[in-house]
Order: sequence, then structure tokens, then C-alpha cells
Amino acid sequence: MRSLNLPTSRSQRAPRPDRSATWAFWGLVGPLVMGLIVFTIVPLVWGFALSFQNARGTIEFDVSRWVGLDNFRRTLADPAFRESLITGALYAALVVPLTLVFGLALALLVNSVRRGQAFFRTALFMPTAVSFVVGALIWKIGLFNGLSFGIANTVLGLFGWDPIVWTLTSPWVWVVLVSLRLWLTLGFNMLIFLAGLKEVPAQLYEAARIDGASSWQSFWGITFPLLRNTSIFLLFVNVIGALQAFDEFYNVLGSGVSSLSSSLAGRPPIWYIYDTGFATADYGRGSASAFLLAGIILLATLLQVRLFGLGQRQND
Amino acid sequence: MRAWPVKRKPIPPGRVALYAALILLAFLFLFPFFLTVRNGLMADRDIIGDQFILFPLPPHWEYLPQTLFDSRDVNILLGLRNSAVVAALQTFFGVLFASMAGYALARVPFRGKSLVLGFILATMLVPGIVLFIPKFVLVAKLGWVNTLQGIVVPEMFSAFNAFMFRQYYLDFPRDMEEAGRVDGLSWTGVYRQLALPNSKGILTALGVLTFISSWNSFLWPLTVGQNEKLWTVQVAVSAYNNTNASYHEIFMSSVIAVVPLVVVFLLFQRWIIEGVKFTGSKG
Repeated sequence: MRSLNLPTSRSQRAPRPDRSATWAFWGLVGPLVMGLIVFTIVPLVWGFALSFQNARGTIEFDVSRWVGLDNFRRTLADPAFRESLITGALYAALVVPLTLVFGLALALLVNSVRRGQAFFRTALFMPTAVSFVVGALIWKIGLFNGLSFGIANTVLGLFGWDPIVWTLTSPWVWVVLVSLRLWLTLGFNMLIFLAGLKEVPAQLYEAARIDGASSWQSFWGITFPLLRNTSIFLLFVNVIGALQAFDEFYNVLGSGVSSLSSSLAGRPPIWYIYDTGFATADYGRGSASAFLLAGIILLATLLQVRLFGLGQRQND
Repeated sequence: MRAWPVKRKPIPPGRVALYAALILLAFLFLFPFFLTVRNGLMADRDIIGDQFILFPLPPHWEYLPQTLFDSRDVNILLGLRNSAVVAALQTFFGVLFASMAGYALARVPFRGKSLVLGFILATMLVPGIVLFIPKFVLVAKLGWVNTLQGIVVPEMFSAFNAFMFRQYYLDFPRDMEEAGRVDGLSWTGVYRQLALPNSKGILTALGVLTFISSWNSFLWPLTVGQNEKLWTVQVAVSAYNNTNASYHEIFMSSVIAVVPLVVVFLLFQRWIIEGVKFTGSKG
């Protein structure tokens, strides 16, 4: 994903490796590499092995429990798995474009004022301090409470509309979930876009202005193309984040989720994995569904790479 | 007083619209904070009452100590303590290990370096969800379910932070470390006495970002720390979903869970912004 350009060009100046340097290297890199082996590689291999065996209620390797592709087949045949994929895809399809468009819009707005810029930036970034858990409670019980005292219903009431049972009815629950994620993540996206905007050389705008370009034209001609790398970075971050969403679904939907699953706002993929893995203690099926999902995310990522041509990026 | 056209240029209407939009947005983004504090200080009958009350006067300040110290439903004080311990440990060791590795990868001469870097970057490509169940399985095997180390240790190794440190140390002035080498410092000595003290900025930036994500994480502590005594503040707040706690208590505990991070935000704002920018430009 990122270029591995080790400083070969600088190696003339770089000191030569020797025994003491080798010791120092492993001493410094050791804790991290050990940690990554134990808590990433070992689980990866272990989970992969478990996904091919009947691991109901057990976490041990056991060749006699080998079931081949059974776990994968049963996961793919499970309607709940497919529903969770639809939920995840729909959520990403709603959240990602909105986040990118609004994130850029906020950055442009904040960037265009001088006086008070720091205040507005802080205000819009502030929600990043809030966890999805707390955000979900504020949204569920405060803003989008289904009773008439919820803020959204209070506002609707001003226009004489009836209260909406936000978190328990299908199109509306998406309003709750999407607006919550926007509130929590737009600040981060705005900040990254702002950093990208500041890197656009001012002379370019100056030159465009002299050539008689309108600010609309210079946005599409200068700003937008130069924000390409920033946008691609954020696209990846947001797609991966949305597909792995768990906290807000778990806390907003709570126990209401089963009544919803038929109307598309069911469990997202991670919740499905959580349930198959833990609630039923079927670690084989849980692992198999995790790998299936990872494969799908990988495919989606590769598709994005193809579509947006990553790799033209100038690093460092 | 008709002198205004002479004295100062009239503000163009575009500016006014711009500021109006920004003020509206700032209001929208900050309103949920206000709502949380308001509901936390308000009696339940007023929260659910037909008459909308903007802010309770006088506010029920006593709800704060009540929620903190004698809540029947959830021990939020213990949650705060657990979160503080977990976040502090993960931040300290996470950033330390990442900076050590980042320095070695950027500067210490070693032939297989690009392989090690490749390995570290490759682990970043493994999606968190794939690891979620097997990581729990491993922790179970180690006997770490319902232990502090089970919550802390598996989440302590950030390949991403190590990569960020590497990018940072690539630009570290070579002259300084050469002088150190000439003075007889070993490579670890150079790291400890020259590199580390001269990278306070990035240490703070990545440290604060690590602290925030650690404080706010939910799924892992929920899974590993099932025992109520190990609930982090997020798990504790989430547990209100299954209680009949009063509204003001839920909101007051939300305030309690958020305030530490708001303080961190305001204190370290500059570093957070630097860190996010650095992440964005080097990521």
C-alpha cells in the first residue's frame, strides 16, 4: 500500500552495519516485532486453522475435528450473514460519500475565514473526543428518543409533526446511525483536508486569478486535483472504518435489533462475527466468517485501487 | 451617526453568509455536548416533560456526586480508574515500542532492515476483524480473559505508529547522531540520549492520539473484561442499556466519560492537530 523506499540513495553516508549495530537493531525492534508476531501472526494462523475445524466450544487445534470448507459453506448459506453484509455495504455506501463531501466542505469553509478560524476548527473537531458508545447513548436517548421529548421529535413537533420512533423503524434508524458517525468523524476528515488545502501553493491561485478564473473554476482546476491523494487516503480510512463498525450499532440498536433484521438495519458484519463467535461459542464458524469478510474487504480495497489508481502517490 | 460608509468598508454579504454558516455548524456540532450536560443536571420528570426546558435552573449539581459515588446501577468511578490505567499503559508502552522500532528502521544499519519493515507494514494490512476472534482465543489460551493484561497487552503494538516514527526519524539530522557516535555512544545510546529527547513533538502527538483511541475503545475491553470489576468507562456507560437507570444518571455518566478527553483535547490541541496532519501527509 505504501512505498517501501528505503534510503538506498543515502547509503553512501549511512554507517556500515556491524555486530553491535545488529544487536541494537534487534533490541530496538524486538518488542514491537515480538508483539506483532504473538498478537497478529499467531492469531491469524490459529484463526485460519480453526476455520477449517469444528470448533464449537473449543479453541484447541484438533486434526480429528477437521471439517474442510464446511464452516465457510455454512456461513455463506446463512441468511443472517448475507444480511449483515448488506447492512455493512449500505452503511458504507451512505457514510463514506457523505463524510468525504461534508469533510471537504467543512475544510473549505473553515479555511476561507481568518478571524475565528481556530475557534471553528476546534468546535467542529471537538466531537472526535467522544466515543461511539457515549455518542450512541446521546443519539439514542437524547436526540433521537422515540418519545416526544427527544430533541428531533421536539423540533418536528414545532412543525406539528408526529413523533418518530427513530431507532426502531427502518428508514429512520439509518438517519440516527449515519448522522452519529458523521458527527464523530467529520472533524478528523476536515482536519486532514485542511492540511491538504494548506499545502496548495498560493501562487497557483494567484496565477489563476490573474488569468481571470472564477473561484469556482480554481476550485475544480487547482484545489480538487491537488487534494486527490488526501481524498484517496480518507476514502480508504472511511471505507474500512464503516465496514468494521460495531460500537454504534450495538449501542443504538441494543436489544431492538432482532425485530429490525428483516428491514435491513440489522447487525453489521462484526456484530455477526461477535455473535457467532461468542454467543454460540462456535469459534470455527466465527473465524470462517471473519476471513470471508476480510476477503470481501480486500476485494473492495483492490477495486478502489483499480478505480482510483493508487501508487501514483508521491511519498515523503 | 451616519458616518459608517466613510469610516470602514462594508462587510461583503458573502462574508456574512460564510460566518453565518460556520456559526450554525459550530452550534450543531456543539449542541450534543450541551444536551448531555443539560440532561445530566436535570430531573427526569423535566427531561420527559411536555414543556421543553432549555436548561434546568437551578441545576441539580448533586447528580454528579450521586452518579460518581453511589450509583446503584453501574460503578462509573471504577470504570474511570480502569480506563485511566488501560489507556496510560497502552499509551506509554505503545508509543515507546513504536518509537524504538521506528528509530531502528530509519537509522540503525542492518542488512535485513527492509524485510523487517515489510513485515511490519504487512501486519497493517490484516483487518482488525479477522484478528478479533483468534486474538480472543489466544488470550483465553493464555488465561488472560478477565485480566488487566488481557485488555492492555494485545492492543499495545502499533505497526502504524512505528511506521510514523520511522518517517519522522528519516528526517532526523544525521550530524547530531554522528557526533554521538564519535563520542562513543552505542546505537541504543544514540536513541536514548539523542533521538528520544529530541522527538518530544511526535511523541506527544502520537501519544495523545493513542490515548484517545485507547480511552474510547469498546469492543475489545467488552470482550475480554467481562467481569464488572474490569469494565472500562465505555463498557460501563454501555451497560446502562441493560438497566432501568434514570435518564439523568445515564447522561451524567456520559459527561463523566467524556470530560477527561475534552480536557486532553483542549490541553493538547496543537499536538493533536499536528499528529493528525502528520498522519495524513505520511500515511
